[in-house]
Amino acid sequence: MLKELKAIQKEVLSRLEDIGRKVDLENLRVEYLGRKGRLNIILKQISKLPRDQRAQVGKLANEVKTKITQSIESKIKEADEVSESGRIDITLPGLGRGVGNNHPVTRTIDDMCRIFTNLGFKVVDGPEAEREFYNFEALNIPLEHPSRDAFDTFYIQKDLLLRSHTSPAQPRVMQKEEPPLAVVVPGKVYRPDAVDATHSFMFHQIEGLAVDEGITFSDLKGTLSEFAREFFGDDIKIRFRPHFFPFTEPSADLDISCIICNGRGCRVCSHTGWLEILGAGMVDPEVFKAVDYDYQKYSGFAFGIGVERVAMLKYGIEDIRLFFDNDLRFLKQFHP
Amino acid sequence: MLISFDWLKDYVSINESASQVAKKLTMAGIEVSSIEKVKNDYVFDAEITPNRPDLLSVQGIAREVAALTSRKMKEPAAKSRQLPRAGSNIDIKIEDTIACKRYNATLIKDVSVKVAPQLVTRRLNALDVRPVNNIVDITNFHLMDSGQPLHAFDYDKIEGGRVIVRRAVKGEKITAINGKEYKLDEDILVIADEKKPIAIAGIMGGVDTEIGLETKNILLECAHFDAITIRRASSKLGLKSDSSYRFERGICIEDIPEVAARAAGDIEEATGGKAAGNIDISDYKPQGLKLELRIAEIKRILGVDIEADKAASILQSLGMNVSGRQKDKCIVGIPPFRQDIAREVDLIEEVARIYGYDNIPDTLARIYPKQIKKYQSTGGVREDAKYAIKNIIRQHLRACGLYEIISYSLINEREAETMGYAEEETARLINPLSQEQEILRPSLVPGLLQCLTWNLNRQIDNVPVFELGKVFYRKQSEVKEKLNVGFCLCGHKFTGDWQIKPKPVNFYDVKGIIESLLKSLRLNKYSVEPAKKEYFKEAKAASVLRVKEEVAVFGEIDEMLLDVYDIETPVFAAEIYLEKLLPEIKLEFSLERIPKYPSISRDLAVIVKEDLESRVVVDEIKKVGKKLITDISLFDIYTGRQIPPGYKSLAYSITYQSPRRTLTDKEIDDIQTEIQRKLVEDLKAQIR
Repeated sequence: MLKELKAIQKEVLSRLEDIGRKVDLENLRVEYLGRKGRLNIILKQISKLPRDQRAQVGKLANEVKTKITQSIESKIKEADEVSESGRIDITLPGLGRGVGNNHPVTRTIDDMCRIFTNLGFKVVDGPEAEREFYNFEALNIPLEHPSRDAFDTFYIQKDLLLRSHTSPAQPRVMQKEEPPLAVVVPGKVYRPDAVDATHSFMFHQIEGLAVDEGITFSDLKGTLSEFAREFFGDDIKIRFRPHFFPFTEPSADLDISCIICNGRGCRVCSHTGWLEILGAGMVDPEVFKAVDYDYQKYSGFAFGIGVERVAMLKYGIEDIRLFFDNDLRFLKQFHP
Repeated sequence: MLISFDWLKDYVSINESASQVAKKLTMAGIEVSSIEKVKNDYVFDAEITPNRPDLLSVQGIAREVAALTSRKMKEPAAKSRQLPRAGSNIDIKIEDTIACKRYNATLIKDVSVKVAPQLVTRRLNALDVRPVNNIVDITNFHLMDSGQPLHAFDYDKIEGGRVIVRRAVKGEKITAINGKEYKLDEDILVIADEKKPIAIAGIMGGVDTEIGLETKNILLECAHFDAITIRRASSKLGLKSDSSYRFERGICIEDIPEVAARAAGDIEEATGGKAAGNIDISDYKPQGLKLELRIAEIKRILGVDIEADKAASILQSLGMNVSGRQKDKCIVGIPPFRQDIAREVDLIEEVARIYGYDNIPDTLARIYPKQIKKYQSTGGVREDAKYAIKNIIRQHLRACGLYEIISYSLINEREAETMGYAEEETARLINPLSQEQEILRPSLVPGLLQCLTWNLNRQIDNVPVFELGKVFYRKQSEVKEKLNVGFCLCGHKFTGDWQIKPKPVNFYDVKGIIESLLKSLRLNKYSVEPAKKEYFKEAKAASVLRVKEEVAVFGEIDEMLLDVYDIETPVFAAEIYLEKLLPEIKLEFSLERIPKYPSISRDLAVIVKEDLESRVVVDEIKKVGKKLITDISLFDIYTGRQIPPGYKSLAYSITYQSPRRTLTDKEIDDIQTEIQRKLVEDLKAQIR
């Protein structure tokens, strides 16, 4: 009987090598290990053996049973993935959870900040609930002047408002740090504008400020032109147009040739061929005065970029509300 | 503001085409956004920045064009008329001499009111100003022409023949020429007669003294009104006009007599009337501001060498007087119409913009990349560390399969209330745009749920999203602003995995993300305790505590809050108070030696009462194994056959390892035995 048992084990193992299909493996299992299987038949006969032989045979029988069982089971496991011919359907979808994305505003901010950090700027943060001094007075915006119209604001309580631009971070940083310094401040800003396709009461800006001895308007032009080319591509044309901000003098708007129509004129650029991208200027002496910087020794430039506007141009997004609806079909497109 | 190309030519010779002129203006700071052909004229729509009130007139723009085309201004066609001095026939009293620094009035008698001359109406039509009658039209003409507002009163309707420039008294009213009645108070400056206000000074005249076809005699007002007073009044009454627009930005007080004389002359000609007297009341003394412009300063600010001669000629072309010219500086006399120039740097801007920004070379600033150390937006952490950590968090949550959202920072009352925030705990806007966006969000949860609603309504059932954003809350009179991280899960996981059936997301999926995030940030000392929050389901919420302080909270969102957003599917959310963690996150570390000796795993399954927490079992096992156990990992929870009701089986895989030697089977067996003994003894557990 010992010989028989060993033979059965050898047989099963040998047969297993040729069997791949699950159904065949199941049949094999039943054939040897089923109630009426070959191993069971032998096991039933053990009781008919003389007593002294029973222990030895029994032990071997169990070992064989375990071995056969394990071998068949492991083959069955393999068979779950293997078809009858030993091939797999390679067209079945791969598995895995997939990764999420950053929000397009975050992505745009990161892209822009990267360009500036490569130029030496550091990224800092500022509060959204801001004091009047930082949002207006320190920026040379008197509390009663038409230039305030451009900055209509949400108020929380006396001397606390939701910042209407990221510029307040300029005096905040300058109060704590000595020049030289160069920072960019991305963040949310708020204006009481009714929400429509191109306006939102909440949006994002990036503020920039560079102060040192010998920083000039020429530097402003070069640095911001470099940014524009890196962000929008080498093909764009750039122009600086005089403008007005209470906190810079001289002030400028930077326009790029319209990236939709290549400067020919279209609805997006109101048929002018140019798109206004950012406002900038040399820091006004009054701003330095408010933070005790010596205007005779230092000079600096500042700039502000509207993030959603730029993102809408770059990605062809036609409605600003898409940024805040957070529709997954929109968000999922912004990979990597 | 609309500009008529033809009208400009009254003041400056122009050979260039309209579009060429428009381009020059744009590149000098007067942005022309469109040019329309109107009959034989071209009309520009230009944006005049608030610092240049002198450009709110044809003459002002013409002056710029002259400077930009290197030409001289022409003399205006209408000759200035010398007006007879007033006798006792004009009675003017200025009570508020701050709000009104100059009042010039001309009495013109025997006028005939009819249609204005064609030249006048043509000019006005080009600028979209509706013609009314000869007198009103001429006042509008001169307003557009010089930027100085004028107003004509029907003199015979002025009660008592007296004009008083004063503050209104609370309770007074006036019906303006737009037909609307306005309630007045002491914030409003008015022109009044003996009995009542007859005009809202600087903004709009009253119907009682309006010029009509029967008007015989007029009083022509040409005055200065203080910018802030007019702005306040205009804002309060909700009333604007071409006049108020100019007063708010500042008019040139010195021009007043000249404009009054010209307008009076034009009115005489158009109406057949005769000027019977003029009075000019003013304390004004010409300022005569002089500024020194240093050539070195031009170079320091602009970065380009502009010689004294060039700078001087630019400023002269703009109407400024340059004297005391030396190689390194000059003295510039500032004309009265340039109220925006008060400092040397203002002159430098003028030089730059006429010189042409595009003629200034581009150079790259030499930025010294100084670390920001003293300025901290969040106490206890440097700005660069804060920025880096925010990025790590985003990356990690993305890797967990979550999508970043950005939601509105303002929510409505119901959202805040249902979450359990008391009114005195939240900050709200004094001037919200709508009730939907009135309260500054005290939590990121509303934004996450709003996002869920949006997506669920569009048959997007799996919405794994996160947000990094500021929340606001009130502590008595202070409003605090904090940076939080929030995320939520709903729907199923394993969808799209054809090997596993989809399973609904649950509490442990959220917990897993928090655990992996904290691990990623190297924050390993914390405990998870049950939490009680109004917006989480009872007994399905937990806090993450560090040194007894709650740093995060997570769980299943309560149905009452889901109702507010019309969400019917279970939602699991978490919120982390990032600013509490920021100062404690240390990203530097040293390597832990890789173990030289192998580890050995043993399984252990125990049957315990259903309400016994897994942590208790784990703590017991740790107590026995101490340093030799490097990991205890739950791999199965089983209730069913073989387990008595009210009990459960917990199966753990325990990893044993010593840093100094390979542990023997016997040693491990002994520890396992001791563990089993302890569990039975202390927890009344049964070993499986």
